[in-house]
Amino acid sequence: MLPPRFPISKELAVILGTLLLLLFISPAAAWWAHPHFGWLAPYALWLLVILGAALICRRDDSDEP
Amino acid sequence: MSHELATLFVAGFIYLVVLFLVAYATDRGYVPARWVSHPLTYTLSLGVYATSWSYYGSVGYAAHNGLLFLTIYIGATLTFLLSPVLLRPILRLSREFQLTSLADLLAFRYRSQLAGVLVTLFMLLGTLPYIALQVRAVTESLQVLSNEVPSNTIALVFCATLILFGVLFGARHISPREKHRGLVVAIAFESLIKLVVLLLIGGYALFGVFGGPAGLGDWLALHPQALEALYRPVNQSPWAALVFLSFAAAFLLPRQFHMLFAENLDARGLRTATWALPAFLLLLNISIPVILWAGQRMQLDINPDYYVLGITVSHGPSWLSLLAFIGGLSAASAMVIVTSIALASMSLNHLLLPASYPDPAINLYRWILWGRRLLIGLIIMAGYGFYAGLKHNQSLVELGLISFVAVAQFLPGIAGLLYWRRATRSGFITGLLGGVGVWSALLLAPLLHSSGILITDMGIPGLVAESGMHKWAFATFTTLTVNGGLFVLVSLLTRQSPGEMEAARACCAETLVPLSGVVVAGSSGEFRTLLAGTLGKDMADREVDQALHDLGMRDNERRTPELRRLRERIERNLSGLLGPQLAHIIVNRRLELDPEAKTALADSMRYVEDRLEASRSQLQGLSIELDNLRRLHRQILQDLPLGVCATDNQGKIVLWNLALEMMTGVEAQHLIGTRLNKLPRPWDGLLAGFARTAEDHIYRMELAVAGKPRWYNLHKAAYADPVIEGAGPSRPGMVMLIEDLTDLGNLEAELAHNDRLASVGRLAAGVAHEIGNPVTGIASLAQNLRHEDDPAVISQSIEDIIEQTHRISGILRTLKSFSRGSRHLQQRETFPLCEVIDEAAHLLRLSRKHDGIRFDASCPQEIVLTGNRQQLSQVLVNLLSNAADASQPGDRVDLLARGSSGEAIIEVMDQGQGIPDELRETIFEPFYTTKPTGQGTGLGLSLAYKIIEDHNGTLTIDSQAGLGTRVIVTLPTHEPEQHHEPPAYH
Repeated sequence: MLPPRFPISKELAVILGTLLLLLFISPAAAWWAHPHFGWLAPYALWLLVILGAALICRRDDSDEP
Repeated sequence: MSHELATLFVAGFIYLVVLFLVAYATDRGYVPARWVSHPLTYTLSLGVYATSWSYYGSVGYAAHNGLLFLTIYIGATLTFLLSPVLLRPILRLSREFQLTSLADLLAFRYRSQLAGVLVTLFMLLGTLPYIALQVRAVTESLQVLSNEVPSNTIALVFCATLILFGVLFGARHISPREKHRGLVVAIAFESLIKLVVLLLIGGYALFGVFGGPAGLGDWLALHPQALEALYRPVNQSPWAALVFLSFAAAFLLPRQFHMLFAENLDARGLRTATWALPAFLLLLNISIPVILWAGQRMQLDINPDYYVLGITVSHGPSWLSLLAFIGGLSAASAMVIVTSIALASMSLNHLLLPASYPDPAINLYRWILWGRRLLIGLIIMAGYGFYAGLKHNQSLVELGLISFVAVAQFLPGIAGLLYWRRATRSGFITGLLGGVGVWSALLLAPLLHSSGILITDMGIPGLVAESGMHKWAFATFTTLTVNGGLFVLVSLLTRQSPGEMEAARACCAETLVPLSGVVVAGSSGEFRTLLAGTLGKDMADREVDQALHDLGMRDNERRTPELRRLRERIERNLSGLLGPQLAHIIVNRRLELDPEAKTALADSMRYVEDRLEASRSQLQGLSIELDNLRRLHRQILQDLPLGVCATDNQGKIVLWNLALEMMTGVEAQHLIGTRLNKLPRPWDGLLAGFARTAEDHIYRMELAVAGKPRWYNLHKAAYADPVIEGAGPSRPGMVMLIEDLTDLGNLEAELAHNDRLASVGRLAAGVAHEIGNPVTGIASLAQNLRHEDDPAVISQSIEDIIEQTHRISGILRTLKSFSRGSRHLQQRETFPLCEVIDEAAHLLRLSRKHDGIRFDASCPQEIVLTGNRQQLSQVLVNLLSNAADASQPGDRVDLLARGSSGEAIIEVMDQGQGIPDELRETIFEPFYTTKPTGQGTGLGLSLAYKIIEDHNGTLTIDSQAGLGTRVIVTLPTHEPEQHHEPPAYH
């Protein structure tokens, strides 16, 4: 009997969502929203979160919605 | 470099023709299926989120509000990151209950047609400005590129083309199971076009305008205010509100919901979209600041909304400006097409059908299809009307955000749907009306006022200004506070209807609720008749056939649990066609449930099993362990080498394992839920009869299967029915074990036969001697007859010869009787015991090996046994043979039988050396012998023990060293006066 497959880790998804909010909505946004970091800073952070999501999805092998 | 309006028109027309060809080629199967169903195709189709607002408006929004434009995509990224807890549950519901729109979903959850109507109306109201925005973007882009004011005819032609596309490729099928692959691929193609074009324009801005990244860096160093302006709005008033609004819009906007859920081909697509769509949005937006700064550097004298076009028109190659126009056209057309299709589906299910349900005599499928097509046209034309009626004094983003705040009003309802089972219909409707009211006052009224449609703005802008909040933050906060507050408050004050509670449980993935109730209609044929009253005969037949096919059921299904499942499946299928609420009403009215009937364990067990299998990956923690345990137990039962059949308290089969499937040739899926007497022959009589009889065990029951006899042991026991629904104890169910003895019996018979042949071999010498004596006598008598004339002597000689031949025949008959192959051990007959005893003693007396040993047999004539005579004879021969082997010449072997209270007791006693204590336990084992090699098989005693046990008797040995051995056999005697009512076997 195969062990049950756990769907994409909901916890990780929520953590990543929280990280996104932390980076873009919390006062932490003031850190990167500065000309000193150049105009690509928000895109770099955004890309970081996207890469995190891609990593989580690689771990998720469930076919079910 | 500007273009002729005609050139742009032709370019746009060619692009739309290409779009038609892409959709057509996909629908015709010319595009490889793996491309069509590829997760990236699905992801690109979700790029419909980026409309002309994103394509043109982002630059304009960035010009005035810096990075605020990015919030629209950060919010969407959040939506997709939270896909496992947000989108996947909705996808599951949409698929399971065939819900094609947000209105379907909310009407299903809150079991309210009014909810569906309100959602549809509000969605129409909130989305029409958005469609108008697309039309406006296309016409204004023409104006920018041609320096001419395009006539309304161009906008009309644009709308007409989109109507044609929507009708041809977005309303081909009426069932949500059949996806519009052509539409999906065409929208994905459009997303790809706008992404590539925007990147090209960004590349042109960077390298063509600034001369490369270094040039851009230099320009930014010279204009630090540009970068400061970009960052200034971060974390200011509307920042979080816009992230929140776009979070909601990314899955609640009609076009998003449609592409996400209604056109989803494979759940894996959504998994890929979790990261791929945000990546798409990032790429789409990375050019925006560069394009903005390029426009500022070039000091373009146009609305920044159209810098995307402006920088290419001023200095770029003409092909790039044409491509830029195509990209914008692509963004606008995709939005209008998908939105109109989604809104048409909603409007049909929640406005048109409830308001004017057609006569069942007409073809309802055709009616639905053409109704949907008509609505696509009406919606796009309404959007055009909105465009024509509004004064164009709002930015593209303004119009888009009005729609965003509108769809955000569905968030409380969605939260209730997914996570708050207590939420009620009244709460949802009240909250929605409250939110819509505030939205209309805060956002719609000023829009209509600025367009001259309303004469007063009711002082709303002043009120917003007094609040000190940004307009969007104020609108978002106020509408959702009123909406959510009313939703929670009214939900707490009101109660759910039973239907609402059932729907709420179904929406909650953690809850497993078996189907309850019994359908009054007794067969799938009755379903057809009853449904025909509302759906028409053809549609009723097709829907019942479809549901039967979906469930793998046979036509004319009659099992009550299966009919309950069939009813549910029909409702779900109709939900995809008519909307959940109308489908629910039709099915409730036509396929009524019996309110008095109770749900049996069999009815619910199948449902629970199916649901557990379907949603296994959703189980967590203890649920997984319990499910593992359930699977283990079920697998043990399935793999048991005995047939297992369990029935519930109503006598319906709940378990039919693999061994029983093999034994009977009947598959479990066709039996679960039926009664035992509905089994095919001969199993109906065997199992139903056994279930009725008082006996808990029946041994060696003979049954004719396919014309051949087979033998079975049957056992049964009652078990407590763990009632799933309701409380309190119920009548017990029953579990039956069926053991097929036929193959084992045949093997035993063969073994016994071999043992008998071995015995015959050992007796051969004695037999030859016994036959030789009469043959010699016959020969002598015959020789004497040659010379005898006296008739009396001749007559006497003949009599003697005949007597000798009878003697030989008797010997041969005994041998033949003993050694013949039995068809089966189970052949039973009634016979006097003394006949078998005499026969066995006679056989042993024939043996020369045992010359000198006296065999004394004694048996009362009245003892009669029932059993296999041949086997019992074999037992006695084996016992006597063993006794003789243990004896010395001159010893006596006694074979004594007597009757005692329903039993025959047979004792075989010898005067040998007895059996040592250490061998007592092993002498019954097969192939164990103390005799020299070649003189014994070691099977005699073990076979004798087995045979006596099969006859419900006992075989014991009493032996003392030096005093001989006594073997005691007890057997039940035949008692004809005792009569048990046998089960009804066939």
